[in-house]
Amino acid sequence: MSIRSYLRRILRLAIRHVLNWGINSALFWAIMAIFFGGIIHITVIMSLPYLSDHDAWHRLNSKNQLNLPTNRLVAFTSSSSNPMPLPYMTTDIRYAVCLYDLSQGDLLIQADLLDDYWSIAIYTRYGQNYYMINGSDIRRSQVELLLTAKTKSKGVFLGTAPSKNEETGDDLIKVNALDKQGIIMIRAPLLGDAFAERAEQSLKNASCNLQQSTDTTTTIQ
Amino acid sequence: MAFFANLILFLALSMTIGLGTAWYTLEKGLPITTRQVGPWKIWYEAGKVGSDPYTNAFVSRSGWLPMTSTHALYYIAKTDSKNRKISANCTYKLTGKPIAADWWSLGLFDEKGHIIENKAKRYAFNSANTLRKIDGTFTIWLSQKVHSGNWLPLTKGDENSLVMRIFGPQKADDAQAENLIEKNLPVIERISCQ
Repeated sequence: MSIRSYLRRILRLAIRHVLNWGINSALFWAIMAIFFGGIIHITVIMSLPYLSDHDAWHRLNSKNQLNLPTNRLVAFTSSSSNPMPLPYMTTDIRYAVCLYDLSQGDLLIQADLLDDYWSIAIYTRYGQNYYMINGSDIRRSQVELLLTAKTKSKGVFLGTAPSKNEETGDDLIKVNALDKQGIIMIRAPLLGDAFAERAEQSLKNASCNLQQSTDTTTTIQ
Repeated sequence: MAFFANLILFLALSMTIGLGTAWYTLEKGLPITTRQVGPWKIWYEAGKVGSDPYTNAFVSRSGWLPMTSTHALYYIAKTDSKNRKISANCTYKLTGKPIAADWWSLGLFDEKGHIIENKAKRYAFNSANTLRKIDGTFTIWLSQKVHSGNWLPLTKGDENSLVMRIFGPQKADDAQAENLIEKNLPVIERISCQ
């Protein structure tokens, strides 16, 4: 017996069973089913971000999938365009990704944002974009961004354009992380294919290191 | 016996209601989480800190990593303008007006959000490389056969999707400007099918 005919038989039995109920009994079970269905609905929606193994973090970090290293910037060049690590990533943007884990210290991100709409976006482990800076926000192309797990000085701010740090006098942007783990994504949209090499080179030169580390960018070919 | 039969039926009904409505709200979206502009749909809270639970669940389930709507707008179309799925057996004409943004890109993807491999290596058109008329309007063709002008090869599948990403939408916090962007999103017209 096929599964479909088996299910059809169960459905017929269920309908016959319900028809044997009195109207009060049927109404009671229907209301209860709607009520518990609502609880299941809310539970699924609320728990999905914490249970899903299809989210960006798992796709980038999972050993069965891409298994990117933490606290190291990985640039995706055109030759690695298919399959892209995440859905809806397009080939006319060059991407670099850094999975961060601040339990071992602060993270220094250095990159050149060569055009106004190149950007650095910082996400929580659950894909919430809590900080974002693009080329038009800064006075020069080079960005130095310090991601810290907790507030260390009055100069720490979140989500605004960079300014002179009063303590050190440099243009270091300090950002308070919302989460100890998360994702940093640098996007370099292309003005045309001729600009691809410039973007790829710029992302290769970018870095994402624990402050005491000397790691450099890894490139996936 | 009757009690256990009732219980099994009750559990089956509860699961169907609970899981079915959860699936529907994530697959189709709700008016409180998405906005539909013709064939284009936007999850306007996607990526935001403190966004609603449905948007969080959608982002987790899809594996997508969007920027917040202040910096980028993402419109996804899974059908043409007459609500028919985008199939590789058909030819489509996309007609768009100028988009007020720093940069935009229109890409073609399969049902899982992956780019569709093709010999011409054409996957997307953007504000810099799309051929346009003097008035700024543009036409992009989707088809299996080579087409002159802006052509994206549609090689396989019956459930393809188009993503219009708009970076630096001008005055994104201004509702009127956002409405203007949405008014200018491309119309997706099915021309013919094999």
